[in-house]
Amino acid sequence: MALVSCFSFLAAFGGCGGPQSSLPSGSGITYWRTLSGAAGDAQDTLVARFNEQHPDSKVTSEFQGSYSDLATKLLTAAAARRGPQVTQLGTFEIRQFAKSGVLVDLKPLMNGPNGLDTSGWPPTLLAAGEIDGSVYWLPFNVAVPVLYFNQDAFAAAGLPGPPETWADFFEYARKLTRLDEKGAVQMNGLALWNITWPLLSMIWSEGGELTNRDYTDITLNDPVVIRMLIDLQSLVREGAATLPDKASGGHRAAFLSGRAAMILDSQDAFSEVFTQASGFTPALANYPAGAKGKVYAPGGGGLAILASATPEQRATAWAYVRHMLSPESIAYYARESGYVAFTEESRRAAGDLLQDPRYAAIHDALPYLRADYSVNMSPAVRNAFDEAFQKILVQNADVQATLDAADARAEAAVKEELAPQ
Amino acid sequence: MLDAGRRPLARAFRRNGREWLTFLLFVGPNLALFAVFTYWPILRSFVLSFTKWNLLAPAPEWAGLANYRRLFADPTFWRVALNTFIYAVAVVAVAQACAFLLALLLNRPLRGRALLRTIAFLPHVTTTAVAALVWVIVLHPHYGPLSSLYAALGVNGPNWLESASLALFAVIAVGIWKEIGFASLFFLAGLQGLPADCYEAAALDGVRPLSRLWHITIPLMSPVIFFLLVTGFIAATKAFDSVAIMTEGGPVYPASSTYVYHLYKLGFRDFQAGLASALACIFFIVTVAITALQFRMASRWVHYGE
Repeated sequence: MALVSCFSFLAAFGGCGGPQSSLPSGSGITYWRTLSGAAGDAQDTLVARFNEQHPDSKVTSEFQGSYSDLATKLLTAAAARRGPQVTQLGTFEIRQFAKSGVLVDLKPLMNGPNGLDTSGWPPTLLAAGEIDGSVYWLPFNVAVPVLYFNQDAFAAAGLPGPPETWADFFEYARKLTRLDEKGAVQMNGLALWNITWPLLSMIWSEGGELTNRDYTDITLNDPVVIRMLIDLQSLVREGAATLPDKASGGHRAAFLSGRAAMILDSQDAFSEVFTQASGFTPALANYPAGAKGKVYAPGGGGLAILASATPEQRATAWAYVRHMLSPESIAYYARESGYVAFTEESRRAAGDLLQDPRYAAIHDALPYLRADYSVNMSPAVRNAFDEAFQKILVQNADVQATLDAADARAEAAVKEELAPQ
Repeated sequence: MLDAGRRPLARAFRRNGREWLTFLLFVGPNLALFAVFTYWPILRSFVLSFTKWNLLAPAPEWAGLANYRRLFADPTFWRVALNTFIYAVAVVAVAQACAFLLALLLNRPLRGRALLRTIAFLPHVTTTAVAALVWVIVLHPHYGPLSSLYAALGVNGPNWLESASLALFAVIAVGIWKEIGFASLFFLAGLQGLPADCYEAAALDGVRPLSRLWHITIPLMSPVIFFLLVTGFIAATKAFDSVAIMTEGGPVYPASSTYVYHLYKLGFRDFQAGLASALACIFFIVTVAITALQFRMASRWVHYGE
C-alpha cells in the first residue's frame, strides 16, 4: 500500500519536474492549517512540494490546532492586522470573516490569466464559499458523513449489514446493545458525537429543517426534529445510546475500545478507526436514508486568502491555492488522509483508490451532499441547537419545551449576530 | 519635613530633583508596563463594553447600555456567575482548611518532612492543563482509578464529566487539589514564624492542644489566612484552563462553565467582543467590591500583633 501510494505521488507530480517559479522573488507566505496525523502530514508534504517548485517563494506551514482554535487565532490575528496570508478554514466562520473584509474575493483570481476552472466541481461544495456573488473560500479537505460499525458485533447480533434506513438504525442500536448479568451496559449500540453536524443529515433526510439559508425562518422545533430527538432520547434512556464526554475521548474512543457498536462520524476518523480499533473488525458505510432519501451535510474545510497580504504575497498565495487544488494534490490528499477526491479529475488522478470499497463508500456519498451550510455558519443557531440536544439527551429534558426555548433563543441571537456592523 | 510638604511641587522637585529622578528610574519601567498591559486594556475594555464589535469590523458601533441589559436578561450569565461563586467558595474554603491542617502536620518533627513538603507543593507547580488532564484520567468512567474503586466496592459510580450536575464538582476538585499545595506553603511559613514564648506560656498554664490552636495559633495566623482568602478568592474567580480542558463548560452548556470561560467563549468563539467586554467590566467591579468587603471585615478578626 505504501509503495503504491509513493508511486502514485511520484507519478502525479512527475510532470512538474524541477523549480518552475515565476512568482515575485522573496514573496514568502505563511499558511495556517488545522488537522493532525495523516491529514496534517499530507498537507505539509504538499507544502514542501510547492516550495521545491518555487524556490524563491517559500510557504511556511503552521499547525494551529482544531478548526475552532484556528478561527480564534485568526480572529485575534486579523484584529491586530497580523497573521497568515493563506489559511485553512472550516465552514463555520466563513461568513463572519468574509463580511468583515478579512478574506480576499477569489473570483477575480479564478477568472484571471492564472485562473482556476471549477466548472466540473460539485456546486454543493462551491456554494459554501459564495457570499453575495463573491467567492471567499474554496473547498480543499471535503468531508462527508460516514457511519462506522463493529462488524463482529453486527454478526453476533445477527444483523446482515449496515442499516439502510434511519428506522433500521434505531432498531439496530437496540439489538446491538449488550448488558451483563446485573443489567449494566457492556456495549452501547450507538455512541453519539456531541455536536450538531451528524444530526443534520439525519434531520434533512427525514425532511426536517433547522433554518433556511438566510436565517429568516429558524425551525429548531420542526416536527421532524422533535420526532428524531424523542427517538434518540429513548435510545439513551434504554442504554442503547450514549453521549460520551469529549475529554474522555468522546464517541470515537467509545467505538475504538469496543464500548459502542456504531458511531455517526465523518471520514475524518478514517485513519484513526482503521489503525487504532482493537479487538474487533471495523467497517464503514454511508449514513442511512430517510423519508427523503439520502441527504447529507457536507463538512471539512477549505482554503482562503487573507486581505492583509501584500500584492506580491497574494500572487504567491494564489499560486499556492492553485497548487493545493490541482487534481494531483486533491488525489494525493484523498489517498493519504481519507478525505474526498471531490472533482472528476482528481478521482482520475487517484487511480485505483476507489477500488478499495471503503474509499468507494466515502465517495458514494458525494451526490447526496446538500448545498446548504447555513447551520454551520451561524454560531447562534449552532450554539442553541447544540445546547438543546445535549440537554435533551444528557438531562432527559422535555423535547418539545427544550426545542421551543432553543428556537426562541436562536431567533433572538441571529438577529443580533447578523445585524450590520 | 513639614516645610518641604508646604513648598510648591516645582520647588520641591528642583531641590530634590536627584531623588525624583532615582524614583522615576525605579518606578518608571514598571509603571510603563502596567500602563500598557494593564491600565490601558482595562480602560479600552470599559469603552468597548458600550459597543457592538466583532473584533473584525474597522470600528466598533456605539451600543450604549445594550450589552449590559442583554447580559442581565440572559439566564446563562446568571448561571455562570453562580457557578463561579460556587467554584470560588468551594475551592477557597476546602483548600484552605485542608492546607492549614496539612501545614500543622508538616510543621511537626516528622521523618521525611522535606519530601512530604515537596509532595504537598507539587500540584501547585504542575500546570493547570496537565493537572486537568490527570484528573480526566482519574475520573475516566472506564479506565480511571476511580472507576476501579467503584468496581472494587461493587457500586456503579457516577460518570462525573458526563453529568450536568456533577461536572462542575469535577472541575472544583482540580482547583482544590492545586490550591492546597500553594496555601500550605504559606501556612507553613506563617507557623514557623510564630513566637515560641506564647506556646511556652500556654504550656505552663496547662492549655490543651485544641484550645492552643483555637486561641493562639489561629489568631496569630489570621494575617496569613486573610492574605490567602483574598488572593485565593481572586484567583479562583478567574478559573479557565481546567474548564477549557475538562468540560468546555458542558456537558450541557453552561453546566460547568465559569465566568472567565464564558467571557472567552463570547469574545473569541462567538465574535462578540462588546458583550465580552461588558462581562469583563462587571467582573472587575464585583471582584473589587468583594475584596473591599473582605478588607472591611478583616478588622474584626485579623490580628497584626499590635
